[in-house]
Amino acid sequence: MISYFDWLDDYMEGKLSPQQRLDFEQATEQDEKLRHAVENYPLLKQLSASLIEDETRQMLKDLENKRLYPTIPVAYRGGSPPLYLWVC
Amino acid sequence: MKLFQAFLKINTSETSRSALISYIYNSPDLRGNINKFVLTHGGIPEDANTIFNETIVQFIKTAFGLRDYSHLTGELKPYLFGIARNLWYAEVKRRGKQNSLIQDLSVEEKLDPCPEEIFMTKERNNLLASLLSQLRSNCRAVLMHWANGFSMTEIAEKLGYQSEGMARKKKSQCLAELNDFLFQNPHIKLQLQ
Repeated sequence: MISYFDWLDDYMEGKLSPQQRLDFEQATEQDEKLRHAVENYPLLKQLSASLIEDETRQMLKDLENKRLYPTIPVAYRGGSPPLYLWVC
Repeated sequence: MKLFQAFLKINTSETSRSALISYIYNSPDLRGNINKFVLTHGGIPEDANTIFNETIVQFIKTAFGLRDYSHLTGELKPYLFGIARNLWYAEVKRRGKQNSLIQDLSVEEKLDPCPEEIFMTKERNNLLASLLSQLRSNCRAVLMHWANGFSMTEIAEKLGYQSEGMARKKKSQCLAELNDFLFQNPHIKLQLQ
């Protein structure tokens, strides 16, 4: 069975053959999710592109938390590893 | 660090990208210079911090997906400082426009940030983050590379898929997943548009 979702990029970029294009368009008439993907393709791509921004913001948030709330050693017991306490 | 080395780290893997971001974030000289610049050009410490973080975000967004950067032999930090300067000038200009509107209305004359706009931007970022967090991490990686211009062959290599076809299949599944979520939550789609 053909997964027309696999054809989405090629359809949007005009790379399908005339017959494939026709088949794809018929599929969009029957499949509302596929039709939704065609109608919202630019938004889907834009959201996907913004994942790099989201990843960077998350990394910065983690670094900010480390900077603002560093762990500091509060006790040393001989040769055992130091205990740490979150300072808020 | 040279600019091309930073571009290479950004495009190699999430681990090398993370290490670079940490290096930039923990550069006291760069942070100090940006702070000084913002504070001597009408900003407050909070502005300086925002500009510093936004500089990193803008830099990563610009560099991710770029192919040809071997000719970029300049230094990283002056380049980042340039981004920060432009971001701050743009922000001052935006505030200035708001200020002249306020002056026209004879309400207030001081140079104020626009809390409403900052709030809207943050709210949008939060909405985006919550939407994108619905995706599994391997989907996030595939879609992020695809939408930023990496070929399926490159995606397969970088993310460890056995073939270009496997990467393509994964991309289709992940895009369908994102599409399903938007289809089921049209209010989120409207807010983002």
